[in-house]
Amino acid sequence: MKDWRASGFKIEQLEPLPEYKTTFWSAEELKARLDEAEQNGCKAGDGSSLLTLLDLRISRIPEGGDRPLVIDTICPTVTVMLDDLQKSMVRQLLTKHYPVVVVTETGNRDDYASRYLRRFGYENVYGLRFGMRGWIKANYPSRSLARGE
Amino acid sequence: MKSVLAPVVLWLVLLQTSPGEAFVRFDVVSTQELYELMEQRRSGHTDFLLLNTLDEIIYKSSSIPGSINIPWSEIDTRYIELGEDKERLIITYCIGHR
Repeated sequence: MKDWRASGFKIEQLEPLPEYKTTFWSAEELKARLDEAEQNGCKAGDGSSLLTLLDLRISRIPEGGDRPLVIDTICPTVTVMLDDLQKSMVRQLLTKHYPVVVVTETGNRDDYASRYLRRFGYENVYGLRFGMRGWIKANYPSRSLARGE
Repeated sequence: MKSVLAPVVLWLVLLQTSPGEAFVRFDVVSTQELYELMEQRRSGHTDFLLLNTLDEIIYKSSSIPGSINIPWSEIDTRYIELGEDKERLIITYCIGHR
Protein backbone atom coordinates (compact mmCIF):
# COMPACT_ATOMS: atom_id res chain seq x y z
CA MET A 1 0.00 0.00 0.00
CA LYS A 2 2.80 2.44 0.83
CA ASP A 3 4.49 2.00 -2.51
CA TRP A 4 1.19 2.10 -4.41
CA ARG A 5 0.42 5.43 -2.78
CA ALA A 6 3.94 6.76 -3.38
CA SER A 7 3.61 5.83 -7.04
CA GLY A 8 0.66 8.18 -7.33
CA PHE A 9 -1.84 5.50 -8.25
CA LYS A 10 -5.50 5.85 -7.35
CA ILE A 11 -6.50 5.11 -3.77
CA GLU A 12 -10.00 4.23 -2.64
CA GLN A 13 -11.26 5.58 0.67
CA LEU A 14 -14.48 3.90 1.72
CA GLU A 15 -14.41 5.39 5.24
CA PRO A 16 -11.62 7.96 5.58
CA LEU A 17 -10.19 8.42 9.04
CA PRO A 18 -10.02 11.85 10.67
CA GLU A 19 -6.95 13.79 9.64
CA TYR A 20 -4.77 13.85 12.72
CA LYS A 21 -1.09 13.41 13.47
CA THR A 22 -0.75 10.82 16.20
CA THR A 23 1.73 11.61 18.94
CA PHE A 24 4.09 8.75 19.65
CA TRP A 25 5.78 8.13 22.97
CA SER A 26 9.14 6.48 23.17
CA ALA A 27 9.51 3.38 25.29
CA GLU A 28 11.43 5.53 27.76
CA GLU A 29 8.61 8.03 28.00
CA LEU A 30 5.98 5.34 28.43
CA LYS A 31 8.07 3.69 31.14
CA ALA A 32 8.33 7.00 33.01
CA ARG A 33 4.60 7.63 32.77
CA LEU A 34 3.74 4.10 33.85
CA ASP A 35 6.06 4.44 36.84
CA GLU A 36 4.36 7.67 37.81
CA ALA A 37 0.87 6.24 37.38
CA GLU A 38 1.73 3.10 39.33
CA GLN A 39 2.73 5.20 42.34
CA ASN A 40 -0.99 5.97 42.67
CA GLY A 41 -2.10 2.45 41.93
CA CYS A 42 -2.78 3.64 38.40
CA LYS A 43 -6.08 5.07 39.64
CA ALA A 44 -7.32 8.63 39.52
CA GLY A 45 -9.52 10.09 42.22
CA ASP A 46 -12.63 9.26 40.25
CA GLY A 47 -11.57 5.66 39.86
CA SER A 48 -10.53 6.02 36.26
CA SER A 49 -7.34 4.45 35.06
CA LEU A 50 -4.51 6.96 34.92
CA LEU A 51 -3.07 5.20 31.89
CA THR A 52 -4.48 2.39 29.78
CA LEU A 53 -2.60 0.24 27.32
CA LEU A 54 -4.46 -0.79 24.18
CA ASP A 55 -2.66 -3.88 22.93
CA LEU A 56 -3.64 -4.71 19.37
CA ARG A 57 -1.21 -7.56 18.79
CA ILE A 58 -3.12 -10.54 19.99
CA SER A 59 -4.70 -12.59 17.25
CA ARG A 60 -5.62 -16.22 17.36
CA ILE A 61 -2.74 -17.96 19.01
CA PRO A 62 -2.62 -21.60 17.91
CA GLU A 63 -2.67 -24.29 20.57
CA GLY A 64 0.84 -24.69 21.80
CA GLY A 65 1.92 -21.49 20.09
CA ASP A 66 4.32 -19.04 21.65
CA ARG A 67 2.71 -16.73 24.18
CA PRO A 68 3.71 -13.17 23.31
CA LEU A 69 5.42 -10.82 25.75
CA VAL A 70 3.29 -7.97 27.05
CA ILE A 71 4.19 -4.89 29.06
CA ASP A 72 4.32 -5.75 32.74
CA THR A 73 2.31 -3.12 34.60
CA ILE A 74 -0.54 -2.82 37.06
CA CYS A 75 -2.15 -0.29 34.74
CA PRO A 76 -4.93 -1.94 32.75
CA THR A 77 -4.30 -3.41 29.34
CA VAL A 78 -7.16 -3.77 26.91
CA THR A 79 -6.25 -6.59 24.54
CA VAL A 80 -8.28 -6.61 21.37
CA MET A 81 -7.91 -6.65 17.61
CA LEU A 82 -7.93 -3.32 15.82
CA ASP A 83 -11.29 -4.08 14.23
CA ASP A 84 -12.80 -4.75 17.65
CA LEU A 85 -12.70 -0.97 18.18
CA GLN A 86 -15.71 -0.84 15.89
CA LYS A 87 -17.77 -2.22 18.80
CA SER A 88 -18.96 0.37 21.31
CA MET A 89 -18.65 -2.12 24.18
CA VAL A 90 -14.95 -2.37 23.42
CA ARG A 91 -14.44 1.38 23.17
CA GLN A 92 -16.15 1.74 26.54
CA LEU A 93 -13.24 -0.13 28.09
CA LEU A 94 -11.09 2.90 27.30
CA THR A 95 -11.00 6.17 29.15
CA LYS A 96 -11.31 9.50 27.37
CA HIS A 97 -9.83 11.63 30.13
CA TYR A 98 -6.49 9.93 30.65
CA PRO A 99 -3.91 8.61 28.20
CA VAL A 100 -4.49 5.49 26.19
CA VAL A 101 -1.33 4.10 24.62
CA VAL A 102 -1.59 1.80 21.64
CA VAL A 103 0.79 -1.14 21.65
CA THR A 104 1.51 -2.93 18.39
CA GLU A 105 4.44 -4.99 17.20
CA THR A 106 6.38 -2.12 15.66
CA GLY A 107 4.10 0.90 15.94
CA ASN A 108 2.91 0.62 12.37
CA ARG A 109 -0.82 0.50 13.10
CA ASP A 110 -0.97 2.84 16.08
CA ASP A 111 -1.92 5.79 13.94
CA TYR A 112 -4.97 3.98 12.56
CA ALA A 113 -6.24 3.17 16.04
CA SER A 114 -5.61 6.70 17.26
CA ARG A 115 -7.37 8.33 14.34
CA TYR A 116 -10.27 5.86 14.44
CA LEU A 117 -10.88 6.45 18.15
CA ARG A 118 -10.73 10.18 17.63
CA ARG A 119 -13.94 9.80 15.66
CA PHE A 120 -15.62 8.85 18.93
CA GLY A 121 -14.12 11.60 21.05
CA TYR A 122 -11.01 9.80 22.27
CA GLU A 123 -8.40 12.53 22.03
CA ASN A 124 -5.83 11.16 24.46
CA VAL A 125 -4.61 8.25 22.39
CA TYR A 126 -0.88 7.87 21.80
CA GLY A 127 1.27 5.49 19.87
CA LEU A 128 4.32 3.64 21.16
CA ARG A 129 7.29 4.39 18.95
CA PHE A 130 8.78 1.16 17.59
CA GLY A 131 6.02 -0.77 19.36
CA MET A 132 6.59 -3.72 21.63
CA ARG A 133 9.87 -4.44 19.90
CA GLY A 134 11.18 -1.11 21.11
CA TRP A 135 9.96 -1.82 24.64
CA ILE A 136 11.65 -5.20 24.69
CA LYS A 137 14.82 -3.82 23.16
CA ALA A 138 14.97 -1.25 25.96
CA ASN A 139 14.75 -4.16 28.37
CA TYR A 140 11.74 -2.74 30.17
CA PRO A 141 9.53 -5.02 32.26
CA SER A 142 7.67 -7.62 30.23
CA ARG A 143 5.85 -10.82 31.03
CA SER A 144 4.42 -13.67 29.04
CA LEU A 145 0.73 -13.45 28.31
CA ALA A 146 -1.02 -16.04 30.45
CA ARG A 147 -3.26 -18.58 28.73
CA GLY A 148 -6.83 -17.37 28.77
CA GLU A 149 -5.76 -13.80 29.40
CA MET B 1 5.87 -9.07 -17.54
CA LYS B 2 5.34 -11.91 -15.17
CA SER B 3 2.94 -14.53 -16.40
CA VAL B 4 -0.54 -13.98 -15.07
CA LEU B 5 -1.56 -17.59 -15.50
CA ALA B 6 0.47 -18.99 -12.66
CA PRO B 7 -2.00 -20.46 -10.18
CA VAL B 8 -0.06 -19.26 -7.18
CA VAL B 9 -0.47 -16.61 -4.57
CA LEU B 10 1.72 -13.63 -5.36
CA TRP B 11 2.93 -11.27 -2.75
CA LEU B 12 3.37 -7.65 -3.66
CA VAL B 13 7.07 -7.33 -2.95
CA LEU B 14 7.11 -3.93 -1.42
CA LEU B 15 4.21 -4.74 0.83
CA GLN B 16 5.67 -7.72 2.63
CA THR B 17 6.65 -7.40 6.25
CA SER B 18 9.12 -10.24 5.83
CA PRO B 19 10.41 -9.90 2.28
CA GLY B 20 12.99 -12.60 2.82
CA GLU B 21 10.33 -15.18 3.53
CA ALA B 22 8.20 -13.97 0.62
CA PHE B 23 11.00 -14.45 -1.88
CA VAL B 24 11.64 -17.94 -0.62
CA ARG B 25 8.09 -19.18 -0.85
CA PHE B 26 6.13 -16.94 -3.18
CA ASP B 27 6.45 -15.15 -6.45
CA VAL B 28 6.19 -11.39 -6.18
CA VAL B 29 5.00 -8.61 -8.40
CA SER B 30 6.09 -5.00 -8.24
CA THR B 31 3.77 -2.07 -7.84
CA GLN B 32 4.15 -1.20 -11.52
CA GLU B 33 3.44 -4.79 -12.55
CA LEU B 34 0.30 -4.81 -10.42
CA TYR B 35 -0.84 -1.58 -12.00
CA GLU B 36 -0.42 -3.10 -15.45
CA LEU B 37 -2.23 -6.25 -14.39
CA MET B 38 -5.10 -4.11 -13.09
CA GLU B 39 -5.31 -2.41 -16.49
CA GLN B 40 -5.39 -5.78 -18.21
CA ARG B 41 -8.09 -6.99 -15.85
CA ARG B 42 -10.13 -3.88 -16.53
CA SER B 43 -9.99 -4.56 -20.25
CA GLY B 44 -10.87 -8.18 -19.74
CA HIS B 45 -7.51 -9.60 -20.80
CA THR B 46 -6.74 -11.24 -17.52
CA ASP B 47 -8.38 -12.25 -14.28
CA PHE B 48 -7.18 -12.38 -10.70
CA LEU B 49 -8.32 -11.60 -7.21
CA LEU B 50 -6.66 -8.69 -5.40
CA LEU B 51 -6.79 -9.39 -1.70
CA ASN B 52 -6.13 -6.85 1.05
CA THR B 53 -5.17 -8.70 4.22
CA LEU B 54 -5.25 -5.74 6.60
CA ASP B 55 -7.74 -4.93 9.35
CA GLU B 56 -11.05 -3.69 8.03
CA ILE B 57 -10.53 -0.25 9.61
CA ILE B 58 -7.29 0.16 7.67
CA TYR B 59 -8.77 -1.23 4.46
CA LYS B 60 -11.69 1.16 4.60
CA SER B 61 -9.42 4.14 5.26
CA SER B 62 -7.46 3.50 2.09
CA SER B 63 -7.15 0.62 -0.31
CA ILE B 64 -6.31 -0.21 -3.89
CA PRO B 65 -9.50 0.06 -5.95
CA GLY B 66 -10.77 -3.30 -7.08
CA SER B 67 -9.46 -5.22 -4.08
CA ILE B 68 -11.42 -7.17 -1.49
CA ASN B 69 -10.63 -7.35 2.20
CA ILE B 70 -10.16 -10.40 4.38
CA PRO B 71 -8.03 -9.62 7.45
CA TRP B 72 -5.29 -12.18 7.67
CA SER B 73 -6.47 -13.23 11.12
CA GLU B 74 -9.82 -14.25 9.62
CA ILE B 75 -8.63 -16.10 6.55
CA ASP B 76 -9.29 -19.51 8.06
CA THR B 77 -12.99 -18.72 8.48
CA ARG B 78 -13.51 -16.48 5.47
CA TYR B 79 -11.53 -18.27 2.78
CA ILE B 80 -14.82 -19.17 1.12
CA GLU B 81 -15.00 -15.56 -0.05
CA LEU B 82 -12.02 -16.28 -2.28
CA GLY B 83 -14.30 -18.31 -4.51
CA GLU B 84 -14.44 -21.94 -5.50
CA ASP B 85 -11.81 -21.78 -8.22
CA LYS B 86 -8.64 -22.62 -6.32
CA GLU B 87 -6.59 -22.25 -9.46
CA ARG B 88 -7.50 -18.61 -9.74
CA LEU B 89 -4.61 -16.20 -9.33
CA ILE B 90 -4.64 -14.32 -6.04
CA ILE B 91 -2.46 -11.30 -5.35
CA THR B 92 -2.29 -10.17 -1.74
CA TYR B 93 -1.08 -6.90 -0.27
CA CYS B 94 -0.83 -5.15 3.06
CA ILE B 95 0.73 -1.95 4.42
CA GLY B 96 4.24 -2.23 3.11
CA HIS B 97 7.82 -2.27 4.27
CA ARG B 98 8.37 -0.94 7.76
